[in-house]
Amino acid sequence: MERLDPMLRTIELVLFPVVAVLMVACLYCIFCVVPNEVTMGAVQRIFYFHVPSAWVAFLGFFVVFVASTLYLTTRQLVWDTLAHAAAELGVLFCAIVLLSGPIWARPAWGTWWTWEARLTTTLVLELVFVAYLVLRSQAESRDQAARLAAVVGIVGFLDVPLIYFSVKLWRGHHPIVFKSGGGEGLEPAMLKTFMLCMFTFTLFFSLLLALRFRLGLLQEDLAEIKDREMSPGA
Amino acid sequence: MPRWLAAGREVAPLNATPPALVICVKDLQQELKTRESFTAAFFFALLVQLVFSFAFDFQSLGLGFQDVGAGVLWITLTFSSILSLQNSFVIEREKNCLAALALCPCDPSSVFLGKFLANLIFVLAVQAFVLPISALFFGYDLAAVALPLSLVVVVNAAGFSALGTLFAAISVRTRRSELLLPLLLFPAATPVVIWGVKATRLCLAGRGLEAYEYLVGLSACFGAIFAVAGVLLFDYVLEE
Amino acid sequence: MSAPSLVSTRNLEFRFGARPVLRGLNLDLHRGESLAVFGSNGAGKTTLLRILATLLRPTGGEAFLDEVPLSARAQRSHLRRRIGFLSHQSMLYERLTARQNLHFYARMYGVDNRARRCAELLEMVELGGREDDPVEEFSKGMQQRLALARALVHDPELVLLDEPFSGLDPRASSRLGTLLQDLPRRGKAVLFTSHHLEMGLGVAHRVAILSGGSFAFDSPRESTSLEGLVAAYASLAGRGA
Repeated sequence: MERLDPMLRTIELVLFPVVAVLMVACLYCIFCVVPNEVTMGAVQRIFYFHVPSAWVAFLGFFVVFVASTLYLTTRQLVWDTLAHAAAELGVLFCAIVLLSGPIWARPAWGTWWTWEARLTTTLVLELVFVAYLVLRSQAESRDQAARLAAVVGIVGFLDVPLIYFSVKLWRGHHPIVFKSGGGEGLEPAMLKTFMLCMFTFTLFFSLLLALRFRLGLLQEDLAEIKDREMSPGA
Repeated sequence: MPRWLAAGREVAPLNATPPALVICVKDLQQELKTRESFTAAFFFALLVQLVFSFAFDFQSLGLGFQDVGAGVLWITLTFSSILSLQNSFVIEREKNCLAALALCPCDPSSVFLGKFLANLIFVLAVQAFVLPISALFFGYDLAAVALPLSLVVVVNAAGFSALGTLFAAISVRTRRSELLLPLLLFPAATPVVIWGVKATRLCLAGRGLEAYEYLVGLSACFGAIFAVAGVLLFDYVLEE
Repeated sequence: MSAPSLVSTRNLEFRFGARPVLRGLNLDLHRGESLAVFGSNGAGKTTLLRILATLLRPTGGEAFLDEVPLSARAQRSHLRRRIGFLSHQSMLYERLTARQNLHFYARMYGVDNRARRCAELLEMVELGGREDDPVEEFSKGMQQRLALARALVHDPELVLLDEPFSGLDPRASSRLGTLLQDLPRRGKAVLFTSHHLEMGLGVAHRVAILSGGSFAFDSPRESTSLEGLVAAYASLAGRGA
């Protein structure tokens, strides 16, 4: 833990200015550079945030899966702290997806919510990982929370492709959002902006993960100090 | 080496009953004596159907069982199963029998398999009574589709129970187990519910098995994946 | 010590979060010997038993059964066959009968000659004649005796009992005490925790007080007077956990 803290601080110090600059660049590109999408118009620009959010949410759940597996094999609580941090971020970015989706769907399809495959999958995943967080809060001890949550984290991740596949079978058609004009594929400016946003969100996610991870480690230190003060013999 | 590999090396004596079966039989014994899981799940299932018919006024809307039956069936099955899944581990928790099971010299996966088997039997037993009654309620000739419908119900109930057994064992360890189990299980069981509903709808519409056998296959995969996950991960759930 | 001890611990440590419960606890217990462990609430008595029962893993040090470390995963079920654990909860299925309970656990432990073993145990804990009554109709003392029979169903060498006397009236306590005294004579090593100094001293060969995470007092019964034990307990048990 002593080695982790400075490492995380360094990551934060490096990433913070980079993400800040990139985020401004993203906004500039989204609003001033890319052309309007032919059929959907200006509102399509929300997808430059919508899709990267979905990507980092899945990335978050993948981190939960990896960290949970590592926790169960090594029993080092740091992995559990990482899993917890990643799960919270996954839930956060899922929420962004679920909010930005309807904002787009209203003008584009004339309805706030549509039971479309990817949106529905995101909703189900959000619920799975909210349950994961509730489980953590309901556990009787730190170790138990870690162990049980790790099992749910692994099972939840295994469930992702199944949920997506089942929902897709149930309800198809996701809009093909990045398509301009005559069907010759993506406008170069759109593609570049999209890639920039994906990259920025990945870094943004990493920054938040480092912050939340370090916060988790600090919380644990604090709990330890409190515990030590409670038991005078120690 | 992963713990489940190391633990798996134990070999049970040849003449002994498999521990999973012992646990399953014990659960059935207990259930036959009290009938609490069955009674609760059965009447809850009836209540769900009652609310269902109030909520959607089938007769005046002119809907038949083939239109709504699949929905009725799966809402009933999932909601009522929650009760028996929950109870299956609450009885283990009451006098800390869960710890006694954890201390038995068998592999923890046997405990999972035993509980899973017992839970599946409970779910199916409840359905065996509820399905004919709902067919009566909604005026449908069940006999015509009894065989393919049983296949769909058994396969999907198995998937639901596999994941349900794992999650019930997890939630019973927490302070508010009765709140947590549905919260954990319903979203994660989405696939098996979707495939189950779809297959049941095709089945009730009188379509041949070939129209929905892929759905049954998918549900079987779901069940297999989470049964294996349960077998591998149950050690961590059982641990104190 | 001449004969190797059946159960021993070396520098056993257990932390609950940051709070140390056991700190460098050393213990040796031989076959045919019984040890009563006293200590205030939260002193770590239950934790010690749960570690020895393989229910909990120590955060430091190691416990051995016949020189096999309890943490040896590959040996786990072999070890568990040799340990009997009576927790402060009965671990019985209340709706099942006494016989069904014993048969269930006997099957789980792969006990040979199940029917005879169970009948024997029921006789031993003086529940003959009540074996087909559901456990929920039993008195606390009867439940406790049946729980003891359950813990002994696979004929373990090491018997661990957590607060076996709690909640029992004097008559039930003394019946249980007689049973406990009998176990070492059958070659078992017995370790039990208790709050009841007099009862413990009357039953066990050795008494120990758990304080500050290790044994602060460990003495054979012959050289311990009740007054001495009470005085030691009063001075030790108050101090920290």
